[in-house]
Amino acid sequence: MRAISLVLALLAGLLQAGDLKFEKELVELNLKPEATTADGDFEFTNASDHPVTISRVEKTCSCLNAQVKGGKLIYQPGEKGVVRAAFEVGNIVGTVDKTIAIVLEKQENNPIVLTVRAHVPVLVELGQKTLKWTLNGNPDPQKVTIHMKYPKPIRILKAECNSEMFKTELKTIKEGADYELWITPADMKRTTIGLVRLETDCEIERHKIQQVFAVVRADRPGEGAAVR
Amino acid sequence: MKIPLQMAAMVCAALLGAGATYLFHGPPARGVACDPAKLKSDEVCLSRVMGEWHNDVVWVDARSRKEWRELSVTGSVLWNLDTVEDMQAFEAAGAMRMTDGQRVIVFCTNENCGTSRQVAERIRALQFGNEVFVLHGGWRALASAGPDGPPLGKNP
Repeated sequence: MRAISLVLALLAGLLQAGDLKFEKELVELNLKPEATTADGDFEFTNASDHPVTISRVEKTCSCLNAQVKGGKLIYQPGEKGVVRAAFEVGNIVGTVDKTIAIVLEKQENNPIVLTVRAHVPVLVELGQKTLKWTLNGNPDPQKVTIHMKYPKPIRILKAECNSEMFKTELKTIKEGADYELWITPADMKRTTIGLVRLETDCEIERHKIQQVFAVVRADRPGEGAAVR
Repeated sequence: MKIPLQMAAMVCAALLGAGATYLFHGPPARGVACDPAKLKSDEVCLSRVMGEWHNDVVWVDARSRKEWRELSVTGSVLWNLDTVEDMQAFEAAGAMRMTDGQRVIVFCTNENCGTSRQVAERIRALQFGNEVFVLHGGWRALASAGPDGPPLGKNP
């Protein structure tokens, strides 16, 4: 009976080990269009009654640099600390989640997962990314509306399709702000895909090039009901 | 003296139990367990991809380029969210492979990595019309599947 009590006490000790409480496990970063980096802080407290040691901080992307502020790894009961995550925006546009795992001593298999959610503004908004025509159907022209969401004008310099199977025409609705890209398929008798590349004069590199797909193919049963 | 003896007896009993289980049920399964009833709405089990769909799918590897190069599903498309990568190039390469309407299966390192779900969302947003799923268990499920999984190989 005493042995069982001893085993139970040991197990209880293990379960208690390392009890860091984070104020938030998700930090949202709303970036400015020009931003190339952004920092997010995760504040924590040692809520246990014993010292807690952080063994390591693991990141899931080379774009994320995460470390414990001040390099401090041992925290006494009640002591507070901060994990700082620095996100490099690079070529990402839109919303992206990146995770950090905080691994505590004696809890190697149960890391604390923190998420950095970066919102990188979309400056060139495309009404649609893909235009579709039904195989053997009508080759009616279709359009993609393009709207610039930036205080400075963004002009489209070029619109080129990589396939001769599609004709493209770019219409300027309002210079530097609104455009329409019209695409017309030349052949409806075979499955084709075309990629229209739009080159803009946007001063922020990651928004400079945009692309639209044009596809001629047979209808698919249940199309549009893709799993969500 | 009593305590060590009692502990030794407990260990022996546990070993006997484990031995009997091994004898009757064989070695433990190394693959990733996948219960279709417990899947999230966008997830799929590897057994369904290989069985019901005969591996006639487009595999999308959402891990890092280094991991994809070293070993991945043969013929898979690399599409991750590493900010140094060219996202437009991923879209273009993916689009060229998805025109046939095959189902698309996205995987990342394991069930907790989260990148596969984000990549799946980006693929759906392109509106190619393919059904897009996230592989339950991710790369861990593929790597442990052996002959029950798709062929694996290096990528250029």
